[in-house]
Amino acid sequence: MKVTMEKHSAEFLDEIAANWVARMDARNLTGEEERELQEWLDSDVRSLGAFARARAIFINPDIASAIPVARHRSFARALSKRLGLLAAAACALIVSVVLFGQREQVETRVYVSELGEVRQIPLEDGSRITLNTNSSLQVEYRKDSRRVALQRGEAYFEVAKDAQRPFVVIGSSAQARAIGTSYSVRMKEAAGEMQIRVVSGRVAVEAPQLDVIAPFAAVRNWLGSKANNAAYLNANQQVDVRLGKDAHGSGQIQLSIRDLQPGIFERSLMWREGLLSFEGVTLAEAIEEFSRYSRQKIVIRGALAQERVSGLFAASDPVAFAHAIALSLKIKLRTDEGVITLYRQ
Amino acid sequence: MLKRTEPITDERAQWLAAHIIPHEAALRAWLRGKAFLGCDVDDIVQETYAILAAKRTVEAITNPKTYAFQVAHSLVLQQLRHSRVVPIAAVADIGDLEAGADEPSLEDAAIACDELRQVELAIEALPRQTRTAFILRRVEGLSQQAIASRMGLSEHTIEKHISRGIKLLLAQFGRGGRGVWAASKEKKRPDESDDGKAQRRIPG
Repeated sequence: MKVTMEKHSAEFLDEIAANWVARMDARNLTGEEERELQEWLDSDVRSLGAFARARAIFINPDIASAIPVARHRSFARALSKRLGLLAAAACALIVSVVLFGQREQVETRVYVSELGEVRQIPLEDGSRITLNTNSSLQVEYRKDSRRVALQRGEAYFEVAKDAQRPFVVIGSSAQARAIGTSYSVRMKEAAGEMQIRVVSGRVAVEAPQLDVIAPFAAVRNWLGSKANNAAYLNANQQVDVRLGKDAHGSGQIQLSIRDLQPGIFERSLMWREGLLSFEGVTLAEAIEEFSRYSRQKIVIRGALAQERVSGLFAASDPVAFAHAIALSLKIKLRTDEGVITLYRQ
Repeated sequence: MLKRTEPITDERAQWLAAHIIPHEAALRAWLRGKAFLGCDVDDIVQETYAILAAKRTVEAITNPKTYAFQVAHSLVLQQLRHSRVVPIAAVADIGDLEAGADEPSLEDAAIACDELRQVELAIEALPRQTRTAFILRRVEGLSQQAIASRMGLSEHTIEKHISRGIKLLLAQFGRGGRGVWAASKEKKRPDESDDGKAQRRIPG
């Protein structure tokens, strides 16, 4: 970081500024370094500008949000490589003793919700889980991590920040790690299909095999590769995870990220209050959504499936929903042996 | 000169990040249009930041974008006064300065979006360890110390990676930095195969 008094290029000043910002981000400067920095700042009026700009750009939140889908390798791989070296250096017995010594007592709790039931699960760290209908999950709080295995259904997570203990929701095909976040994770009927929606903060979606998706496109395409990756989601983004095949026919995990209008997730999360909010969805989709919450069967006859419906309904009352739909679409409703049929004359 | 332990406070850096950085591309575009006046865009921008950083308070600035344009404006004029020959066209042209600052920010947003895409591509093109360290620091918010132990590298090495990442952003941001991006794109990373490379390319 030595500089002389001659006029330097803007790029050169940027380089020095970057070095100082990185160092001050790492630790406090020594007295000697502080003097050196001050000398550099005094040497050229542009130095302070370069330094101020470097600091501003480094902390600029937009920069962080430009990174979300940048690739990076799984840290687990780096870690396992290190452990491998360790094991090679030490004798196997010692390693096993060390591992045994570190084993901690882990308490696992299972939560299940019935059809139509929505459960609030407050956790000891201030995080809160809302379990949607017909769902089950397992909570494991360890010293170094908070793990939730979502086995079935859907849940919404409001995560208390704790950088030392990552909060991870593990699904069948991918896991969603919170970075100061509220988000929902849903396991779909089809094997390996998941949907993750971020309401606030940021979530890292990690899977043994997934690839990056073109950024800034409104709808991103399914993609996949052999790389071991994470994709970062921001607020108002949704990712659909599914199992697919690559060009050579071998299985891979694929994901698709969408940007949604702010507010859509909040509406879709009305289930937490026992309500279902529809806006221009097809009647078939709405009926399918109701079927998640009750055993009441609703059947449609004729070309009604594609009719659009909107409104706010009690998830627990599919009968009221059916009557409201019949009224607004001016169609008939019949109940036979507990099954509701909607039809046009 | 008075010794300052903190040349620029966190608060001021945040203010610059929130209110000036988003308009830097527009400011540079406007200054580039004045290139015939003989002023160096990078120099003017750095001096503008210096003035904004050195101000005792920014509370009174209600429109930071206009203010930054005005500061740059005065710096251009200052340079013009110091230069011996001032082309007549230059003085007349200065009149549209304010107009530049008052332009609707729709175009700014487009520029900023394009810029972030460039930044993203550039970050992707960083060497693997630099990229990992930078993401851990800026996206995941880990300290450099924590990153060092996580990646099994010395803190000094992590500092170098972070510094390299910042350098790239400084070159990329505002300046367009297409040169940087193109250069790093050509250079294939030795740790990466060509797998999925075509897929990863951004359409359009």
